[in-house]
Amino acid sequence: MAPHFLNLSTELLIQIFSYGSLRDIGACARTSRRLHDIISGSLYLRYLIRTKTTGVCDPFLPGLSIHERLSVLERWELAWHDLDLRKSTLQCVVPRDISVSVLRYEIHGGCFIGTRRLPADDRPLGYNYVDLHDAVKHGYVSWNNVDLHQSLSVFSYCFNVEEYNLAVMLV
Amino acid sequence: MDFKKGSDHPLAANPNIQLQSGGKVININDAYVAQMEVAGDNIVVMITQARALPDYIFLVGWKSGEVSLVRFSFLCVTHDLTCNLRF
Repeated sequence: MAPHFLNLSTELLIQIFSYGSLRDIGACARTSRRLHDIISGSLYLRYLIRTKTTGVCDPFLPGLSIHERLSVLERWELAWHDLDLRKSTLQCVVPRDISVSVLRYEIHGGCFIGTRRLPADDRPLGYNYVDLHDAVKHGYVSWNNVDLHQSLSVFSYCFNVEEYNLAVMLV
Repeated sequence: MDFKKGSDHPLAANPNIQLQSGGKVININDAYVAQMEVAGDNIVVMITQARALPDYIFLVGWKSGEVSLVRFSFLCVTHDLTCNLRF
């Protein structure tokens, strides 16, 4: 005789619920006291419910515990809650000597980056950046400059600032 | 490169890597467009000649310095000049 759904182990029930939609999980929680206790008592399910509620997708890459993920999600929710787009928190003025030579602006890992080019040539010869976290913390914008060696003719580039503080140049 | 300092990246065993195909260095000046994207410890480099599809797709381990040519179109032949990745 097949076991009754409610007789399955708690771990198995949590795994089954993790595949359900927010509506399904909510409906199951209302069907019995045991299911309610399992769903409300599982940090993993609570985290999943919260990601579904806020519309966040977590691919569950290794490195963070559920407790840490929940904490990050709470900070994310709070940041959005506190965000007031009508209020200017920082003015990022681009100096003229930078703005006339900038090819393209982009944001990577909390840095606002302007890639500079040679006049009459679209190939970048360096970049300027503002660390936005520092700028917000100190209340002013400080532009940093990175020059590439003049003998290098950069064909393409990419950045990964957030994870590795990495700039890659194809020359 | 170290993004903030512009110096060689401390985690890259070899900050300058040559992309080669068939023992010959790729001539980047022949490329129509080249796109790169960092994916963890690897960088995907797509070099497109003046046609619709990428002629070369390299997977470059930027920490280890290992280069793998994962796709190559035999319709194009490039050589002579240098093509370097600088970390």
